[in-house]
Amino acid sequence: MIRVAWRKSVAFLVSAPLVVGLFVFVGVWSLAATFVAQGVASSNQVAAWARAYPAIEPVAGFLGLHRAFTSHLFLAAVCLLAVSTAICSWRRTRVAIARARRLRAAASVDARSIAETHDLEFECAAGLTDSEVLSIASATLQKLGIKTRRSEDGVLRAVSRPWTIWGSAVFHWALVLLIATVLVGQLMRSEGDVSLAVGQTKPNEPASYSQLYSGPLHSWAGEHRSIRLDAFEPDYKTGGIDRGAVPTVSLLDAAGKVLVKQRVYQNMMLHDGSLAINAPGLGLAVHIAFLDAAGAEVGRSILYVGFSQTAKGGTVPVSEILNSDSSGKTKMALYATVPLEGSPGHYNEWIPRPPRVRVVVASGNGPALFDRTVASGQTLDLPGAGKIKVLGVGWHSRLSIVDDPTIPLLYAAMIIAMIGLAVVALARQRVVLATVVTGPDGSRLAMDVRLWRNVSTNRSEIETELAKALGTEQEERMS
Amino acid sequence: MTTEIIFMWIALTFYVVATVMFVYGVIFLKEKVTGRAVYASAIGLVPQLISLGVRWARLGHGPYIGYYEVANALTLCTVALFVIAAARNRRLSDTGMGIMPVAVLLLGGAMLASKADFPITAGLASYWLFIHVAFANLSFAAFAASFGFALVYVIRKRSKGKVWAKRLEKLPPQDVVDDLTSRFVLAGFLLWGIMIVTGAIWANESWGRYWSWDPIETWSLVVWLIYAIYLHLRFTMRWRGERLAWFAIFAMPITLFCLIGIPTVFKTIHAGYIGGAEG
Repeated sequence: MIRVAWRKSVAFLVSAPLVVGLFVFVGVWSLAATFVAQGVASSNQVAAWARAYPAIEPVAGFLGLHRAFTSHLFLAAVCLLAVSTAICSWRRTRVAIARARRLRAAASVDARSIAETHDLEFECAAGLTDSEVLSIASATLQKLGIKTRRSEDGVLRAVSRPWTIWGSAVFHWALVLLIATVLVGQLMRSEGDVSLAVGQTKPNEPASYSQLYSGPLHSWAGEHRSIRLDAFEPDYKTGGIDRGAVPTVSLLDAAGKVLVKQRVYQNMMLHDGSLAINAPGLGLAVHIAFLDAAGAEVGRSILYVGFSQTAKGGTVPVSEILNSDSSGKTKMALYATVPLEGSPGHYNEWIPRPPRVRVVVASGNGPALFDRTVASGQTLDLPGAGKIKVLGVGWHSRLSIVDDPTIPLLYAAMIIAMIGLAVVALARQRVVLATVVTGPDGSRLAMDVRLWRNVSTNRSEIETELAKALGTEQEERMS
Repeated sequence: MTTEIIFMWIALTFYVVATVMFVYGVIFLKEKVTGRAVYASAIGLVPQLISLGVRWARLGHGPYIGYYEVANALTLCTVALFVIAAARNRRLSDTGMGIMPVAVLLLGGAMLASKADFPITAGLASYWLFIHVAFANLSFAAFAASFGFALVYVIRKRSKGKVWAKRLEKLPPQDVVDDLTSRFVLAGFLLWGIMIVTGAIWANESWGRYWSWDPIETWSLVVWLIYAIYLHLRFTMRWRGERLAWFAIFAMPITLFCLIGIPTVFKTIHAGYIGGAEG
């Protein structure tokens, strides 16, 4: 009973209609997703799309198309496809083993065996010698794209090497490995953004990230590295190409020793093991010092500021300093912007000379308690928050940091898949054996023909052309 | 008009003439004319190569950026593949009637588009660009060839009174054309797969993400799935003949849209190569 159910399940999972149906579903779903704004329902993009297409929005929302590629429906289809591919790979492996045996046997089969077990037979015109028959057959097959070799015992042979039949199995197993690696990679991966001002160092730990995805299997326990922003060149050129704003980043070990140090820009990421650092964003950094009542410095902090052509003044706060009460409720928030030269849409995204900083203190529920624009070096008395001194304005870089230990396996799976597919697409898979059988009613050409893939002709063309060439249109099928 | 543009017009003229010759030769059963049409196609490759070579030397990069260059490279690969196939097997010459119009439309569209010079940007400055784009061009050429074979298969099959069957009788038998269609689909599927893989590796090395479901990535995957369906129908479900030929015919325009249409419709991080809006 269980065995029957198992067999039926396996047959269903590898059935071509199911596989084709899954391809169609994944394809249509993916295409639909390209027309629908992707993101959480609260995001600006999704809200704008919902306003633009009020008639479709309920359907898109119901189906989960706004998060199309993480929706349960899509993931279930991909998982089913992976299981189906795995079972299919197993079946293809068994076929490949059987065909490899057949190819090995065909490579050494003798004339007598072909005479006994052939599946095609051609009558030969009277007067042709065995050698002439084989020559004609060889020339005819060559014309059809099958190059044969004649052995001493009078056998024409065009037999593919055994590795040629492994392409499909290897390709499908590699696809299974690829899907599995992608899924495991999502569990083991961490990915997020860390903002750093020039000269600043942060440990590579979750608290340093402004936004972070950390898979459930990702471990931070053994991570002791730190990231330092050594320098920032706002307009770096090399190789005749403008690379834009380029930070120089160092990765330090637990003892502070530099492991890697380099400029980071597009197509030039910093790599250390499975860790990769990219620099997709930049902005300004406002350096401030906290002062006590006597004016002595008691601490320093950095407020990150981002560029925005639509915001008033051309910048928006990216980070803030929060003052919370004992229950964790925010009492006050301190943030800063740097008014730029220019007008909306045409702000000069550069550090203004001399830089001025707009400092805002807001209460926990939003309204601004303090809002003043000051020059660098000035001290401010903040309401209920002591004194601060604006030390200066510099650059900051937003580093995108990815740690994915599955990448080498992913690359390997992709490369193996392509090698397997190349074998499928390019390697001939065939067995063509021929020999002359002499009987009381004359000579006949006996052939064993298996054309599995990538052959330049087909069975019916071989039958027609050989029958013509050997002097008779009649051919006889033995099986 | 610059030298490179003049040479490109010459190439286009040869391709138009070749197309007309293919149609004339097939309709009026002029075997010599179709044979010469293959030569005209081959000769057209020379000014196109010269034009692209001059542009390459002037700009310092291959035909990767902007619709003009991308469509040019696709045309070059498509015509070159057809000429090689027809030279190796003269019986395939008549498929030029299906393939050369695609080349003419692509190159004609390129000649009407902006021919502005786009420098290599920081995002494109990588050796992966050449590999990635080369496989995109080669895969399109293979799919265009499969389109041509499928088209002549359908024309012969649906020929009333066998008129077109007679006109296209020089081609190999229908079952061989059917096999050729699927072999070129398989070759295109391999090359498209390599294009996706090299793109994923490049994206990971450049952005730290090997896949971001950008519209062009998604459509590339969908094109791969479409041809995967074709191959499963052919090799697993044993489909043959006309309905599979129709499949190959309808799949090719989707491939073309994926390569040159997406950046004009969607916001995409790949827009840089064709001059659209970056997402």
